[in-house]
Amino acid sequence: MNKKSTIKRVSTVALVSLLDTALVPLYFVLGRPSFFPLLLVHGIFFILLIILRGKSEEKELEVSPLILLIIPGFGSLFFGISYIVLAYGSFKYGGKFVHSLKKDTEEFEELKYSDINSLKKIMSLSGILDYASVEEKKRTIINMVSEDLNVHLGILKKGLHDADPEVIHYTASTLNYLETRYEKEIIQTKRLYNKEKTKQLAEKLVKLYEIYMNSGLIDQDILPVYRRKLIADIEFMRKNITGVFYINSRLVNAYIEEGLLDHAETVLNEMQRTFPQEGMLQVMWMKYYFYRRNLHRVTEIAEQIDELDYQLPYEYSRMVSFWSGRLEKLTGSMA
Amino acid sequence: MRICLILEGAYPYIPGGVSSWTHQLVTRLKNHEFVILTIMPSKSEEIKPHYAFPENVVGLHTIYLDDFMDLERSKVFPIHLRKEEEEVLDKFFDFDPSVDWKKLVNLICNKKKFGNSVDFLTDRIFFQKLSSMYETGFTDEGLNIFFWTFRSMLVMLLTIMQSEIPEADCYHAISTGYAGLLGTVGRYVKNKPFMLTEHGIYAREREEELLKAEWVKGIYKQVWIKYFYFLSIGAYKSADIIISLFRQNKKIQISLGAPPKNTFVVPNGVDVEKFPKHREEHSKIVIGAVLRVVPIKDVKTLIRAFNFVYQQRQDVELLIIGPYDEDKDYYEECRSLVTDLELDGPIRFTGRVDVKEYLPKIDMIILTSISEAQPLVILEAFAARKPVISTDVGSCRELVMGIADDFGEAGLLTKPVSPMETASAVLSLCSDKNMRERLAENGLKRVAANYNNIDVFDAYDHFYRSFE
Repeated sequence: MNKKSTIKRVSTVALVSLLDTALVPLYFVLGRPSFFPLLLVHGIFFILLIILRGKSEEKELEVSPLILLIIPGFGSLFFGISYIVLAYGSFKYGGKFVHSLKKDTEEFEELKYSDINSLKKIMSLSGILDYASVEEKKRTIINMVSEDLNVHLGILKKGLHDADPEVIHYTASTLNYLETRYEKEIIQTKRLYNKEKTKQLAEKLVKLYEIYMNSGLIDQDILPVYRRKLIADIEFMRKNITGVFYINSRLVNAYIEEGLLDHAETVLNEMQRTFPQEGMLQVMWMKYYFYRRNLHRVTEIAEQIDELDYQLPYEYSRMVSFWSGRLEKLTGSMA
Repeated sequence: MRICLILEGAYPYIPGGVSSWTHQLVTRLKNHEFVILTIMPSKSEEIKPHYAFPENVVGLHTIYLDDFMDLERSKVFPIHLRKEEEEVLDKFFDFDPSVDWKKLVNLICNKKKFGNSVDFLTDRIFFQKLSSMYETGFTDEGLNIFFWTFRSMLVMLLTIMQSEIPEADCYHAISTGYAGLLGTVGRYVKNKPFMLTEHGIYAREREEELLKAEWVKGIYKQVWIKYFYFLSIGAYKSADIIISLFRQNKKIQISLGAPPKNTFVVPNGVDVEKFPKHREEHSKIVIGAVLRVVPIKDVKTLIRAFNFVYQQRQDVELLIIGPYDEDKDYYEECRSLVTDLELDGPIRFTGRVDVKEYLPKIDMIILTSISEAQPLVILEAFAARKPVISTDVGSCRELVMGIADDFGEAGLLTKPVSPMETASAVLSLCSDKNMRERLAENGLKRVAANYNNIDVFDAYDHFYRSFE
């Protein structure tokens, strides 16, 4: 490419970036343009920059225009500066600056595909299923196959409503694969348990159920079926495995969710004998009485927990404080 | 005309959709001679033909992917390549489909120059190329796994390409992959026309399998995927005629590099007149699902959908017709779901039966598959004058809604993995007999006009004769 055309292209990119950057102060200071026209104009500038960038030399492509989306308005300023820096050789600091921008953009890209456990990931997955290109959607959906089992996958179902038949196919096939994988793992663990009858396997089986039931893969209509399976399996395992708090607590939960409160009470009483010092057991009693609609008892237990100063996970201690009225007192005194 | 049919892991040894189709092809086109060339995974497995050949099948050749185990070095001197040949080989090592396939095939099949696969895999050139590949893109991976992955990929390609292939007037591969690779050899080494029929899309199917596979990890998943796309694209570029079963697959073939002028759609067909059209009197509304009980058919969604239907009306029955011994665990899961939902009465698994005998007892056919190419069960349902409820996958939309005709819809479409939507489609057909009649009539017209076996195999006859 000759020097003249480079100057022309770089100047145009710089001008468009500057105009896009100017939108932000105009919006915040003068209140003009209003929000939607602002988005529209920003979108036009973005597309324009993508088109202009398409004609760039390789070295100028180092910075992804995604940066414009991460930091709307000011992103354009960064983009414009880095583009000029790249077009006219690498200054010592300019190079570093561009490198760090590039790294940020790459991290953003990685975030979209790898860190599924974070809320950000869930949000961007949802966004991808809404707005990305067909190829990107397919890539993202199929990447879910290699993710950990312990994630919320129900969001994938969005892909079933896509307009593109290929996206629907990939989604359906991935959902089917994941479901089959869970089911097979549950069956295998159950078989193994039947042979070896160890605490570890019993815990693993219960955990698998729990992960699967919370994965979002099982629809609400079918959830009770799995809950009943879980109950049957735990009751079967309790013949050999006793004294595991986690397993018993899952059983109580399942009974409560199934509305079988008498069964839940029986197990809770057994647990009371085995784990009298366990703070979480008291929380489970609270849940039980809550479902019995005995709110007075819920409050009483909460007060006892407060008095005895059990060590509970944060979210539970907040809940206990709420029921014991301590939270109200605290917020009231602050007011 | 003598046609060499090339298949991978199918006819005549392994029964299934592609094998039945191939058997019909050779049985119907009696005016042609056929030689069957089949690629099978391993010599160690004892295999017997599952089909009795008609008289016009004049030969069966089997190539095994582990044939190289019997090979020994045949060359004394190292391999010498010209610069141009080195460039071709570089692209081959990189699985770059833009390689000049004619030059590549002629180079590798020239055993005098290139040696056999053992000669090549013990030659300096192989190690040089592999080392430079490792240094340019795989240094983060262990050398051991890198070496054996590439070696096993290349050894299979070389073995297949250097296999003796029978003389024929035309080479017809029934998939891309290794079968397509042999078709490419027929095209460039024997200088005969090469025809390709794809029932699914081979590269896409392998891609899905690989992404879900446990045996291959990390970067090598992408390498294997690239390898299979390389083979498919090679076949697309080399074939004179490329046939798919339906439009969407033709679009995919073109998007992968098949020249549009060489691509054609020839659907599957059925013998419409052989299917019963009457309805045996029965008191309940009977829903039939003709399928193998395997995860890809998503039988669980079917059961759950039926559960919703049964909650609304109890005058319904579901027959799950087909074998259930392929995936016993999955069958057990389905059985247990039926029991858990207390549907043991209205749902029946028939196992393997003669579908034609059951069709008069059925009021509608249902399909909840995750993935299909062109399901024969829909064509058979149409031929037996039954309306269809099907997931909108593969060519089901073409079949149910009709694209190339004005017969109107012949059933209802639903999204995959959507029990509620499926149930509501079933309920609407249950409650409207006129609708069922109308859809069934449209289906019969469509299958008779567009999917009759006679026309389908006539099309193949026409293609073969175009090479004469």
